[in-house]
Amino acid sequence: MFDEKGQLHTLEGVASATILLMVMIYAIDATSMTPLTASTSSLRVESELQTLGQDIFNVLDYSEANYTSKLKYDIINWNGTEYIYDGSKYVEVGNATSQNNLNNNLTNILSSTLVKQGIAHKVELTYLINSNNKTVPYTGSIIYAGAPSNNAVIVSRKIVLQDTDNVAATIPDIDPSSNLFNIVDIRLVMWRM
Amino acid sequence: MVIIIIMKIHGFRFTDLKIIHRIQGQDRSRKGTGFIGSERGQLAVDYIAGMSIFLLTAAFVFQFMYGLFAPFQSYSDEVTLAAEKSSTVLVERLLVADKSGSRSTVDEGKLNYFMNTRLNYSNRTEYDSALRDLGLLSNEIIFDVNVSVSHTNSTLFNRSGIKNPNGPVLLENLETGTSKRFVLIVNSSTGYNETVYISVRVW
Repeated sequence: MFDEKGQLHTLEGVASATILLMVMIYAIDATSMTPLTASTSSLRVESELQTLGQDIFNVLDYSEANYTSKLKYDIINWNGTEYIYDGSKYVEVGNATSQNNLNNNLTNILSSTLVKQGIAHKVELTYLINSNNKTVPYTGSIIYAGAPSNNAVIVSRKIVLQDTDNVAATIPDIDPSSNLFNIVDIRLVMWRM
Repeated sequence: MVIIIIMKIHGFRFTDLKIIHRIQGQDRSRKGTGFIGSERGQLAVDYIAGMSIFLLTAAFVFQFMYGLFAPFQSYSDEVTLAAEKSSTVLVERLLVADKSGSRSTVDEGKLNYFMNTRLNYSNRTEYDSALRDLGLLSNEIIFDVNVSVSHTNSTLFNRSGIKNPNGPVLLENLETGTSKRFVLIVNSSTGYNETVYISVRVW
């Protein structure tokens, strides 16, 4: 009833709790968070991906005077099919056995950059369509790779198509009365698996 | 863990029987003095002092352990920022192909001149002027830079006598910031063009 030793135990408790706390803080601080740590948004990785993505579009969109850029050429000749990377080439979604693989300027660059670095990627096109007397944006997918992670980085480039570009039938002419054919927003979504 | 176990052992030394006896002795001596109410909650001053010293020691040890690993911790923020800034200046201003309209297009002649002449470390005047142009040398900051150009399959770009990589030799034990740009090298007179990586390393 009148035992007063409890006070000592309290201080010992405080001491051990402090030590435990310091150990926990030390252990957490010492553990490094890698770019692949789940649900970790690493700004450094995102910034690198963004620079790389913009560089890819810059390189693809370069053209000598009076020539069509590689990026524009690929968009003009896109046949509307969706492709997926199977580990060695870009095959048709749902029809992997067919030999209609996507092999153009875009896939050449992506194979030598993103694929080599193990960066998952998808490519989407948003262009305008006329629907019920309204012009609305429509998004089609060229390269599909599932749902991106929360840390995905998107880079995009707008390409203006003219009637004289002889665009394949996939993308419609939104204004037949003028030389404007369509405006395409090509998006490259990249993320670390 | 060994340190924690040692601390635990030290902790118990402070609470050995001698101290407890002293506390109990004080309590006994006070019982006759007529203090009102309970006397629980009072501790010997030397016990509190001992415990404080112990806790301070433990805190100091943990603080010191951080310092022990400091040389191996990354402080690369500054060098990485410098590398990113200088690679942007290099690719988008110093080497950019005239009238290309693209920010990642590099002129082959400018690249050769920059790599062979301006990054020539044995000519400190040229090298320092290149550092100033890259924003890596001023009254406040001094960095060193090493630039390399490589193909997408990681082999070194080796065309028309380019000195690649160039700049001072990378140091092994120093934190280095790296920035990599994917660019198109063009030569408008020959029509040559090729995609390469330009890596800028700053320390």
